[in-house]
Amino acid sequence: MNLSRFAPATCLCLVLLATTACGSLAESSGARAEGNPGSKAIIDSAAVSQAIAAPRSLTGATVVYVVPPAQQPGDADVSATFVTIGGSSRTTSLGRAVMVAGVPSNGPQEPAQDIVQAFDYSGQLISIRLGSTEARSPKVPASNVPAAVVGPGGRMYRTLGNTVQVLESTGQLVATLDLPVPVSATPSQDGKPIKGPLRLDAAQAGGLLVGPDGHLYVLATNGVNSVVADLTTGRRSDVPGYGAIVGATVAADGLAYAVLRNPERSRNTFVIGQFDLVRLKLLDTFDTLIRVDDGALDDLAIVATRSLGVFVYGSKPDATGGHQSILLRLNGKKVDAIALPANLGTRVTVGVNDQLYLFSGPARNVVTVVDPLTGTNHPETLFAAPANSYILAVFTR
Amino acid sequence: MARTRATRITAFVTVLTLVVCLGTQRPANASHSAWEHCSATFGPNFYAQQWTNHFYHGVFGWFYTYQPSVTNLNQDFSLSHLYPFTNGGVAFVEVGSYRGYGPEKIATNSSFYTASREDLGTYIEHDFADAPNATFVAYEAQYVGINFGNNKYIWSVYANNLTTPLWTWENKYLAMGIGQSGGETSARGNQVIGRMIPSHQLQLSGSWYNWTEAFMAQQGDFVRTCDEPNVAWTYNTKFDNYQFSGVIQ
Repeated sequence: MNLSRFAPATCLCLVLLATTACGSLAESSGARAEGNPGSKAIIDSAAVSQAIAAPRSLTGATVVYVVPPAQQPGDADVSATFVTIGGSSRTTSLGRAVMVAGVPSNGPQEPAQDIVQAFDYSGQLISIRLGSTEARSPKVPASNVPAAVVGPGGRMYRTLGNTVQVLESTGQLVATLDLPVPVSATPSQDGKPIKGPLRLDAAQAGGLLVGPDGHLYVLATNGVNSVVADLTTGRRSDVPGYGAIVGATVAADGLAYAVLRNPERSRNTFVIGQFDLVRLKLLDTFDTLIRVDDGALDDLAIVATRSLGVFVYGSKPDATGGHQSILLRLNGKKVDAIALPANLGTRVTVGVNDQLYLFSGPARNVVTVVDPLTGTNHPETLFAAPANSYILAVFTR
Repeated sequence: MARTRATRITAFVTVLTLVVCLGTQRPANASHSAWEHCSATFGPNFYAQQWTNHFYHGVFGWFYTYQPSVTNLNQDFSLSHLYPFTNGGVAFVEVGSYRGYGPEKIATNSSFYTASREDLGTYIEHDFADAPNATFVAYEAQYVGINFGNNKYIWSVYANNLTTPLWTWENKYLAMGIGQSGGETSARGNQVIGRMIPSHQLQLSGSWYNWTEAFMAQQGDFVRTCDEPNVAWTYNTKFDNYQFSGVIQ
């Protein structure tokens, strides 16, 4: 058997549109500022302009890349290089790690709390906290790189099986919480039975969020129905009919946004769900027109900028063997598609200047910056790691 | 203890000879009465299966190809298979043979199939040719590596052909999977039947190991089993030689 490893904006009208759209979102949703759940957020149009005019730069960002070993998976240690643009770099061994994911800290003021998680070929999960001194959390048995989020003070929350682990910034495990289980129902596809484990008693975390109130929220699903819960207080609310959640974020308006779909039908689309975390309520949905049967998605993520609103970014294989990048903007109550070139990457990070940094997958060793309002058809390459490497995490400042 | 495919095939031929000589006589150590019912763990389908507690890089096994009784072939299925899974059963790759409904084929005769899921709601199945009737065929699901072009884990599955994959899947989450094998049907009134003979193997870090009590003990692992009230599961030897049969009531 062959065991070879690898298949191997600057337009004023857009500013005004963005300001108006974001303003209407904030107005309609009872937006909150951190620490004051009832207050209204005001969109700062000057900040929008400043964001658009800001120079695109990775200065201060940390880029993590790996060079895949040429041998069989697991036969050689993988080294990851952490490069702070305009600063220092260091290379550290991840052991026989086979997948790496970045977990940004809660804000740019806590860069030392950014975390890289690596999944080891032997089935161990390693968490490496970045900072002047590298700190590794104890290895735990795992089967992949799980969902995780870093809260204030560097507290880390990560899923492990049907639980959420709470770890202090020191890496000490302080609590293990059960994921809430959605209302049972029989999964099917187009009304027909499906084969394999269906797991109605179980939940999968589709999104871990730290809310403006500092609480830990989770969106969990059983494949047919979902639930949104405040794990800090134990409150929960069912979200029937949405059994696939592929990402979630908290936006500047204080609301949570997630990418959802009803998996009961093979030919339907993902929607953006808008959640009020105070009332644990799904407020509205907005159709992305992304169809599952258009082809397997490489990845799909939803991100919130500080001033420019909420965006969905993903990529999927195209007919030419490349990977089509997908960028959608939630613009008021409609979703705008923003054209992008192919092969910009499968992963996205929001920069402090509200630009999107795209990397990983087909982008290989390159980080590209894109203005999310225009999608600019001339994205700039800001950083290139060695040619044989893959950038797997970008932390912006 | 690691074994190659050649030794697996040798072991298979040896055991097949024994099976032919001894028939499929059920030994006295039938032991399923205390097992849990599968629906509590695996969902609304009906199952008879065993699974490990630890994660592995592959599963291999020899299964007899029956033609299980299925009341409505256009709506329901009965199958035998193996599927390494993770995330509590959310993510898996699966290979085996089924009789009855498949999205790409209504199988009047037991036919090969493979299926995979990353997130809930992303189930994909592909259905293939009829399996040879009334004989033992090998299934295998094996981790191959990572496609850094999309950050997904690559798994190849094999059915009765250990040279050419039946399909190659890419999965976001399945780096390692819980070892699983057994049978399943989608509705009451259908028969669940299977026969599995050595070698039944698990792969760990590139080496294949016989799925035996000794190997489980060596790994500090254990095996759980579940079946439905009317399905009898019998071990000839744990955990690589078993049979199950019954009609779901």
